[in-house]
Amino acid sequence: MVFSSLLFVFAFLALNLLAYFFAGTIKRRNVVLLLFSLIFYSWGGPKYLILLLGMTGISWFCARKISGRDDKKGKKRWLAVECVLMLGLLGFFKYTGFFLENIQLLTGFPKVIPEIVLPIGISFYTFQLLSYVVDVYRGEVEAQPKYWKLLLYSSLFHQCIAGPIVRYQTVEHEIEERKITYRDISDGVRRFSIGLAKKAILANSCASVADTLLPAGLEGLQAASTAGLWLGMIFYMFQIYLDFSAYSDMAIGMGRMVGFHYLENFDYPYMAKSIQDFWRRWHISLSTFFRDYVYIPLGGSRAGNLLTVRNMFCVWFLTGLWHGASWNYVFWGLYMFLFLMGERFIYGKALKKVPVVGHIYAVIAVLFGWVLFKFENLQQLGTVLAGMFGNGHVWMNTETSILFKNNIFLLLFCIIAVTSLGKTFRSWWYRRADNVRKVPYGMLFLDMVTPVILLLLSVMALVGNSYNPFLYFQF
Amino acid sequence: MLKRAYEHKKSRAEYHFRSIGLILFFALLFGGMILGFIIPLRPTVSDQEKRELTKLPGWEAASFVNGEFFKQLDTWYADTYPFRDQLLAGNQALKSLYGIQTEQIHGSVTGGDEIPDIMDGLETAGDSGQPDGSGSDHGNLPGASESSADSQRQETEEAANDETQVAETLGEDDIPDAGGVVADELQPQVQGGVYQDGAKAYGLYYFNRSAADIYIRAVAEMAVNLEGTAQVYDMLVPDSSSIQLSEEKIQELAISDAQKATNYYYKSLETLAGDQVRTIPIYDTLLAHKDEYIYFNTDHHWTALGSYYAYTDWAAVKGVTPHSLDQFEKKEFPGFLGSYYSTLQSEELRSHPDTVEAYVPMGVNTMQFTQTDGQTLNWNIINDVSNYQAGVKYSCFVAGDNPYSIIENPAITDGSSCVVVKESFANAFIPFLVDHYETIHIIDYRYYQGSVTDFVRENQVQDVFFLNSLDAIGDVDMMNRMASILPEGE
Repeated sequence: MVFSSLLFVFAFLALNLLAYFFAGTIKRRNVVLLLFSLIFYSWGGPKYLILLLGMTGISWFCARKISGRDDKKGKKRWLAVECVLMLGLLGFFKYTGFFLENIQLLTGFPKVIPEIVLPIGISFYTFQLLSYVVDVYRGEVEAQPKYWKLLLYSSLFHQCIAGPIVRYQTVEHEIEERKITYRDISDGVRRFSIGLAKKAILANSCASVADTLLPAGLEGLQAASTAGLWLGMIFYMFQIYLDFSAYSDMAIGMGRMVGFHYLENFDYPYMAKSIQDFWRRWHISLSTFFRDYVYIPLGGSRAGNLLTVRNMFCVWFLTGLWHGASWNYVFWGLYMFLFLMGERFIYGKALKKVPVVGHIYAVIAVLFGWVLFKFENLQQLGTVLAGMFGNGHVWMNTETSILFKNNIFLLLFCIIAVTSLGKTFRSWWYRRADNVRKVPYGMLFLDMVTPVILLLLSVMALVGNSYNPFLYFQF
Repeated sequence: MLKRAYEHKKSRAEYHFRSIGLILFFALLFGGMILGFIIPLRPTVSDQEKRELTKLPGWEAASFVNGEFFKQLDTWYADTYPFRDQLLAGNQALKSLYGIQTEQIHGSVTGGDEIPDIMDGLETAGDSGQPDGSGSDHGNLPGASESSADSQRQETEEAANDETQVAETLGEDDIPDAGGVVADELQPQVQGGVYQDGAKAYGLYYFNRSAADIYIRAVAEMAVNLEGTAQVYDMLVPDSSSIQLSEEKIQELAISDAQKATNYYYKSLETLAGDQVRTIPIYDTLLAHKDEYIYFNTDHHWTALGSYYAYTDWAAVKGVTPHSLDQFEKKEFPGFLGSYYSTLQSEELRSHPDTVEAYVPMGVNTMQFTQTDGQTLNWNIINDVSNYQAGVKYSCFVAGDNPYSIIENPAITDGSSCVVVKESFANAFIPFLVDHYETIHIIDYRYYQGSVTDFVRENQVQDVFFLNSLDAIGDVDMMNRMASILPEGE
């Protein structure tokens, strides 16, 4: 099931909240959440539920073993078991096909490549479970004695399928005990409805323009105009951020409604002033995962320049590969690595002095990054990259100019929506009210009606849009 | 105000506003939940989009395990949500704010195939300047036609079955106030892209050579087969885009040259079947009237007026005197929002609906048609659709699209008869034919089961009239379907 479907909003979520509030005790409430999560996960085909149950079982067991041992060696052994099994399963389901394809390309064997379907959300919950066991090993959290409570953590429908990658330590105490205030519910509702509207209205609309301008298949791309490719990529750039951050907004919002406080996953990444800055703002839970569990264990930046480069290379190679089993994702990761190298060793300081230039640079670099990211087919990728610089494509055609005019206000709105302008305005209004000691009725009223209006608009969009792709499902 | 007093007042206000906000949100959420559970409120057809909505999936163990069941449940839930059309209209209003939308394109500008002068392998016949060749010429159908037509026939059988099922499921009960005729009209009929300029939309016509060749072979083969039995006529109708758009726009949108395409069809047909096929050129006639209301603005069909001009061309070829328009009683059905509106859902079109004008035949206004389920109904040739939904008013002509219909004109007793092999474009035309034949059989090749050649022989029909839109016969699947029903049955 996806959050941005009518069935989820009106049947699943509504029933879940009802059951939750009538459940009474924290234990019963946890059971409600767990049951709903298991149903949610089964929606894409119940067979993968076994995998989720099994991987959680392994992690629960390993963590118990680690905390039960006093000797470093014993702890290490169980950590190794956990890592091998988790990464092995992730590798098997996600990368077998890709790996064999490349072997086949080099050696001609094997003849037939098995088709392995990627279980939904495996990239996300594998990382969550790994972080949990590593944290137990490091002594940062207690091992969870109850299997079902760990399962609640790994399967919780708020974040199980598409992130954010919630650390166990973030919710450790809230699983056992959480207070819900009307403020929490109100903030959660607001956050959820913003996310839903972002996805159902903005991201889907951007997707539809992007897909028209960047049609599937080589032929269509070859016939596209240069302006059309640029415009299509700009809409894709909006789509991918609005889509993914909307999912995080909804997760954070739903968590809030029942008393969980997940960490932020995005911080206006398109306002970044460098690529390093971009990665501090984009999919924060993934970057911090790689920082804490790969980069720092490898030695970080404290072991000299050469090792720093090696460590960063590893991180960005893996970041690329995590996004999908295809070379273009690896290229995308390494493309980011090159910019980070440049910023670290060559032009980073100069960039800081002129933030405007830094901002333009970051946006353009990210845009071309998304070209790498979008096209798994290398031939199509080449066509689009070359086409963006002319290369025999017409500059402009009727289709492009009509689509541009048709969506010009959408484009402007999206530009505003990806900046912190709205947030700044809202807090400015509240701050000013405090200064002059006048109750900010206008803003309070806006805050009051925003969620219900956004929900209504989203419902209208969801009824009309059979077109509802979700980009981050494949990871 | 004192700071404490202010803080107190503010937090009280905040509490009230937030509480009301929560009540509003949850009222909508739980209201929507309850509404979603009221199954009888769920629509089964969408008038806005002119299509049948998704059905509740059946329960099968296999579809449960691989998640297919839940996927379908998801689609069904959203697709048939109560008040769908109203919610859709709301969404459309929101989307109209996205930009300046006086001009719109739906679908892709792909361009058509190149249009040769004549079908491959026929150059010599065409160049020799003997389009009305002798009998022996007729046998010279390109060798490939037989075998390929056979293999295509099998493929289409399945496609055709699917189609019939779709048509069958749209029983008349589904649309209480519109009757069974409307059912077939509900299928989306816009094939390619659509271009909208202000309050008028145009279909983008792209020539498809494979489809053209299937059509030409099938019609020519049948004509040759019927030599001595019946005379075949062929009329191809261009889209409004070819006639009413400027040269410049036609080029920008890479629309195929409809006149050149028509010539390709006609010349190839004449070369293959000689006198057995009489082609009716209407392109120049329509062009001469391009500024009149000869095509709808919100729909892909031509108007009765457009088809009237084409009818005068038909009369010239047939050698009869056409009736003048003022001889007929004229009816008007305003408020028509056709297929382009369904596709684009554009506000501009919605506020400028079409008026369907119809001319009642002089001799008779009753007919009989057979639905896809075999049921036969009596109907009016020009039916009063004033109370029909906005999207289906084109069905006022000859009961819309049905596998088979028959019109018997008691005012004529010379035993004359014809079969019209058609899709929906012919509907606006047929009322003018009524006063020229004792019997008119109407066969819609998309739904008809059986052999048209056998039908012509058994009923001793004299004229076989192919009346088709260029756009519709540019679809390979449709043409395979047509090629499968034209020849003699096994």
